[in-house]
Amino acid sequence: MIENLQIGFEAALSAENVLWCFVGVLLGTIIGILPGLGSATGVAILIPVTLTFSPLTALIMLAGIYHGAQFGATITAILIATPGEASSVISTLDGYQMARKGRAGPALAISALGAFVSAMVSLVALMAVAPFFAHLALDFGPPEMLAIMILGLCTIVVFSGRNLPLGLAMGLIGVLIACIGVDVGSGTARYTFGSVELFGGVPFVEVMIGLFAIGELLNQLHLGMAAPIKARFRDLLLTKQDLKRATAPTARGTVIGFLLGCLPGAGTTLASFMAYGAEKTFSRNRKKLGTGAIEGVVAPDAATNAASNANFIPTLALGVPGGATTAVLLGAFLVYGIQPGPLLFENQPELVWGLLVSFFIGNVLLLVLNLPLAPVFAQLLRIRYAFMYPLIIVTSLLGAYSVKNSMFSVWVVIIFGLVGYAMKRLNFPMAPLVLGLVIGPLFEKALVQTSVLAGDDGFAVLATPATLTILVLAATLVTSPLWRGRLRRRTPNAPEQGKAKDHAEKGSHE
Amino acid sequence: MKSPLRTSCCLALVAVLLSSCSVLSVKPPVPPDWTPRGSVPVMVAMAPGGGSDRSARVIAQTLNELDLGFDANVENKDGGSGAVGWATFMSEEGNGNTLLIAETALNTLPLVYEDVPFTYKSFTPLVMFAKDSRMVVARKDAPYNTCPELVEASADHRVIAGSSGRTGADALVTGELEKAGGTFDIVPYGSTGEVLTGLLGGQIEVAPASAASAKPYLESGDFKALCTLSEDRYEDPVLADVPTAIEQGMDATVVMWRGVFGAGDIADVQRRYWIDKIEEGMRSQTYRDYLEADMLIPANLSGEEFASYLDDYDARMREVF
Amino acid sequence: MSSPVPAVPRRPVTLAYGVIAALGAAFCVGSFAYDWSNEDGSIGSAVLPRVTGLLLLLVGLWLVRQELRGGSVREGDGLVVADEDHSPDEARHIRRKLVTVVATMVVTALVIPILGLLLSLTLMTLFLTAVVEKQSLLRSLLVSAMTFGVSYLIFVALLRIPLPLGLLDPAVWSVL
Repeated sequence: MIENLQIGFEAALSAENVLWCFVGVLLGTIIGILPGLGSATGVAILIPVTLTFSPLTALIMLAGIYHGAQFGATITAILIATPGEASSVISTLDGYQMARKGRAGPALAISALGAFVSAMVSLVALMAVAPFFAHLALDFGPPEMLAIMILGLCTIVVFSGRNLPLGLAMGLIGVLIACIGVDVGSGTARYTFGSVELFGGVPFVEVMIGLFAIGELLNQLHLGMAAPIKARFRDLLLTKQDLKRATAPTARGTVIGFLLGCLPGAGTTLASFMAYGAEKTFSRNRKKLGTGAIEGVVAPDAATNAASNANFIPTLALGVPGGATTAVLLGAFLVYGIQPGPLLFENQPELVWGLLVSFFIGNVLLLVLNLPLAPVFAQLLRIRYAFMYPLIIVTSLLGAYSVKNSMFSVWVVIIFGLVGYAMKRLNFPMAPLVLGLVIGPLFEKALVQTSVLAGDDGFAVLATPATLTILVLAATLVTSPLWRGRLRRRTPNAPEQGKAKDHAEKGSHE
Repeated sequence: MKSPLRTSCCLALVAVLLSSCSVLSVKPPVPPDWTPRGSVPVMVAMAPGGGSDRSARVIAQTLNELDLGFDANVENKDGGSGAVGWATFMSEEGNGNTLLIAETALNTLPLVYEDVPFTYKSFTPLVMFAKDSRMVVARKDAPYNTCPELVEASADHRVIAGSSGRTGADALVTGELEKAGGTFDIVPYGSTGEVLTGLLGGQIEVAPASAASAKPYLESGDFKALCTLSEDRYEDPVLADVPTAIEQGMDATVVMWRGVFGAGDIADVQRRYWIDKIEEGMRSQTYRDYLEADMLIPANLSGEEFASYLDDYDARMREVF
Repeated sequence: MSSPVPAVPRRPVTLAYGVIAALGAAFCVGSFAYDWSNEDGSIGSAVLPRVTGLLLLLVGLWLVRQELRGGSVREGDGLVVADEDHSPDEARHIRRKLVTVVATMVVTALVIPILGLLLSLTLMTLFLTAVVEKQSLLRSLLVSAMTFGVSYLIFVALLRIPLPLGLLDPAVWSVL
């Protein structure tokens, strides 16, 4: 491995490569900040720009965009509750609440730091054990994926807070919305009512922009305009206590993200949700989650970054895409005349190790870029809301349009903006709805595939050690309110009181 | 002071009126020396990163390399296996300043879904620039080595195959194999990448794959190729050993086309301009490199020839679907 | 439900729960247009929406019942934020502003095909800041101009995203 690293450093550490890596992470950060525009689209539209580069330089820049987008997406999620990417939806829950309490600076800084640490750890793991994990991931067929999706759906219980039926209803609505469009199993067009736009389903990113960005904006207008937030300089910096609280969540998030990221198609969004769910279950501060707890910011961010790195495991070791963006990157390999596949490590050691080393360089650059900028970005919240909210509308609509170059997206944002506003006014939880929306299609795909594989044996295919373990975990999660309720009765909690007062400013993310 | 509410309502009315009697409905004749101007959108109804997207970017690049005073820009409008993009492209009717890159699914999609508003006849065929086919690959330890053996084995015991969609090329492959007497349990996947993952992981036994995507796994020895459904063998050194299904005594071929279309009902001048320039672009190194890297079969049918090819193709597809 | 808090059922909440139940029913009924199982015996496209729809209907009805039985003012299940901190006058003002902002968004979306995306959004910014929020005209103009400039730089110059230009598209004029 040391030898390989040396090859990698020799290849990646040219002035030209570092420069383009920097351009990549910078562009990526911008693309990430813009709501709607994700890293997959960003990489795709910039492939033509890189055609004249050497393959390694081009891939380094494109990978920089990928990493930068993850960092950038969190910035808008924290500052204005607008998810810049699908995977940063969860950052809007606690990150935005921290920002509203004047702690946007620490929220941004800790998210960058957590992302950096998890990226580093997952990169080392990626380099050391990529082939091993790649083959492990291959054993995860449809039955195992089905079990994971069931586990995912069970986290709705964790996200529902105290009114379980309501959370359940929101999750079910999410699954139903995801049913609209052509289903993957039989290719039937469901609930499209003759509209061709709906063939592709209700677009996820646009729904998120509507629910979170526009919904929150209308809610703030209802509350009589959010006051500009003037944070003292002291509040803009991370404290020792922040760092201490962030350690364990970062570790948990990294592990969850890395494991889910190894599985082709499980997705970074799911990883971020699962990491948040884990915090809700295991964190010492779990009761504060949803009210602007640092654990709720750092864990999903760590998971997202670990997952996006782990996505490269199937991509580089097997030549199969681990996620949407790595699929585009695989396409880029072909453009540069490189054949991705199981022999890539052997045939192109310089390219692969150079690329991997560039991930380190990219993440260091991102940290250097983002840490000092965190307090600066936090200052954006001082803009008077009368100017702020038109700008939020502009970025939301512009971003939504550019996802698919379609007016349909713009309308989806406006309609779901109204839905989001209604949900905020009624204090309905949003997280279960998003979860249902994300997992619904994946769950159905795994279900149909499993049913084909099962054939006449029924669901006996589910009886593998891996699926059973995951299902037991899911069962524990579902029953957790029961045993947690018993614990709560034993330890009366005082800090819960006095929370209702600032409830006006916070959503219903319990 | 007028209430802002009333102002916006008035504006809404004006907007609706304006868009209903749009200036765009006026259509003057196209001058004989017409050339495209400014930015020419090259629409592709698939997501970035896939085969269609790649071909669109290559065609756009070959046009831009000719330096004709316009800028060809790829626009992805994906969703519903192409349905969303193609339905949107219908609204460009009469607009010569835009192109569409499409493929086989434009023939098959309207056959599967009756409620899509377009058929391949909704657009103006310009140039068919490549053909593609599929191979049938299996895990290296599979008990069969050729396509006829596979069909035979499937009569004996249960064979699980993978497929990446109901309207794409994979459906044509499984259709041909079933026509030859095979019966398969077909696991639906979301993309070719997922199918290959399933095959690598051993969840499925056989799968259709394009030459370009199968090659690395044949080289590494993870998969073996049973047959190719192309008309002739591939020239590639690795793939040249793979016999065609016809050689193996099975009357089965799968051919997919990739082509450039104009919007429906464009002027003859525009049609001829584009055919001319696209063919000129296809003489470039960029285009030849693309064919080689993606292992496509060269093709060049333009205008009427392309149109009648599509008619024949459609007739054949009606038998399959 | 050992000791339900005596409270009056809140109408918006009951209504919302009713909508949830109706949504479930609609999806459940709609699923009968699709197949329960495919030809090969695998799970068909009707299964997920029908089961989920039915569950949603049941949960929705349960929620309605819970609310009608006196409601439960627990956290996370309904209108916690009441309008009491707004005077009736303020409330009316707020409602009007909300309607105006939503209407403005709709109008903007409608004029995008005519004026193009960037120009429509710039005009929207100007309208919202200058007219709705009554900020000084100079500042509003400045903010709108900056919005246009930054958006143009990022989306058009840098990322080359084909934004619609509406009637300002040179392609439209070249035909005329």
